[in-house]
Amino acid sequence: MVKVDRYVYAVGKHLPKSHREDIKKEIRSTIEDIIEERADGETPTEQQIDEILLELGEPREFACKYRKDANYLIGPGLFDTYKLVLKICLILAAIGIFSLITNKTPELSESYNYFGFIFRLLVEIVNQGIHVFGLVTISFFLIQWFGNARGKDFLKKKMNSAWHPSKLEAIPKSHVQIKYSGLITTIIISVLTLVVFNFFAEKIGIYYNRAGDQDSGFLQILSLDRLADYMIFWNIEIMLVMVISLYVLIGKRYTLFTVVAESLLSIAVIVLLLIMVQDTTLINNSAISEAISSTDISGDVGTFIRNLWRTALAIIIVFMAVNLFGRGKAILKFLK
Amino acid sequence: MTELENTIDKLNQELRRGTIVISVLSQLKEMQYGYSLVQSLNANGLRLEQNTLYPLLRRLESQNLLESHWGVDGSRPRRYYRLSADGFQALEILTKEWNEMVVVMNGFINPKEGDV
Repeated sequence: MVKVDRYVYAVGKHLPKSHREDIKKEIRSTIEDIIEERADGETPTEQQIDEILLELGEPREFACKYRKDANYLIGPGLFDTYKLVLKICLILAAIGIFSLITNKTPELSESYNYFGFIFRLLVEIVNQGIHVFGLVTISFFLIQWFGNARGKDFLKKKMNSAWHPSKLEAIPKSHVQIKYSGLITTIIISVLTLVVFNFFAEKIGIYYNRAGDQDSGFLQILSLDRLADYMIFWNIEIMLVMVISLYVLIGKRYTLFTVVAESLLSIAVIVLLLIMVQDTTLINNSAISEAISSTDISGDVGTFIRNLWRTALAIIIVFMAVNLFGRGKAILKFLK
Repeated sequence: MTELENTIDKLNQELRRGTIVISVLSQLKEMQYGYSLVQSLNANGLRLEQNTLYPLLRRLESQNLLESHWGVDGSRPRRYYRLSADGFQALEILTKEWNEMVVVMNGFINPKEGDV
C-alpha cells in the first residue's frame, strides 16, 4: 500500500491547490475500491497494485486531465517549465538590479539620500519584475500558440511512456516539506547581507550630534580592515546558502543531502559569528573614543556600544542555533 | 504509430468525447460513486478509463450539471454524484439532439436503396 500512498501523493503534486485534498481523497477511495474487487477480500499482491496503478496511468498525466479542459494561455504541458523559467529569470533580474544600482551609486557621502536610494531600488525591482514576467509569459504563450496551430501536444511529449509504479518517489516527511516563504526570505536576506556588507560596510554606524556643531557626526563602529578579513568567508558562506536555497526551491523538496548541507553551513555561520563576537579588534575603538570626546555625553559609552554590537550578534547566533536544532530533528527523521 | 493511425486516433477521440458526456449524464439519474459508475458504463459496453472519468465528473460538477457529496458507505468515504436540475435539463436536450443526429448520420452512412 506504500505505492498507493506514493501514487496519490504524486498525482496531488500536480493538482490545482484549491481541490487537491478532495481529489486525492477521491482517487484513494477509487483505488481502494478497485483493489477490493480485484483482490477479492485478500491482501493484494504487489503485482496487482502495479497493474492497477499502470491502468490509472502516469500521475502527472492523470493530474493534467483535471486541468486539460480549461482555456489557457499556457497549457499544462508547458506550465511547469514556464514557472521554472520565470522563477530563475526573476531571481537573476533581482541580482542584476542590485549589482547595477550599487555600482551606479557614486561617492557615498553622509548627505546621501538613502530613502531615495531604497525607493529607486524598489521601483526598479517592481518595474523589471513586470518586464521579465511579461516577456517570459509572452514567449511561452507564443510557443503554446504556434504549437497549438501545428497540432502539437506538449503534454504527450513530456509524458514518460515507460512509466512504472516502481519509479514512484517516496513521500517527503511532512515536517521537511518545503516552505516557499522561508526559502525566499533566506534568499532575500542573503542578497541584502551581501550588498550591505560588501558595498556599504563603511555606512554601518551611529549618527550623532556633535557638541557645538550643527552637522551631525558619524561614528563608524566597525574596523573595515578587520571586517575585510571576515568578508571572504561571509561571501563564500552566503553564496552557498543561496545556491542551496535555490536548489531546494527548484527541486521543490528537501533531501537528506540538502538538509545536511544547510546544517553544516549554519554551523559554519555560527562559528564565524562566535569568532566575531570575541574579536575586540573588529570594533573601531579609536573612532569610538574620538567620537565620545567630541560629545557632551558622559559615562562609559564605549562599553555600551561594544555591548550593543555583541548583543546584536548574540541574537543572530541564538536564532541560528534554534534553526539548526530544527534541521537536526529533520535529519533524524530522514534517517529513521 | 504511423501518421494515418495518429490522425485516426485523434478523430476517434473527438468523436467519443461528446458521447462520453451523454453516457455519463444518462447513468447519473440515480446517485452513484465513481467506481460504481465505471462498472455500470462498462456493463453497457462503454470502456472508459478511470483517469478520464474522474476529471470529467469534476468538470461536469463545475458546470453545475452534477451535484456531489461525500458519503460513507461501508468501509470508506466515497464521493457520490447525481444529476442536478440543470443536468436533467441538459441530458434531455442532448438526448433529443443525439436521436436526431443518429437519424441524420444513418442517412449518410447507410443510405437506403432508392434514396440515392
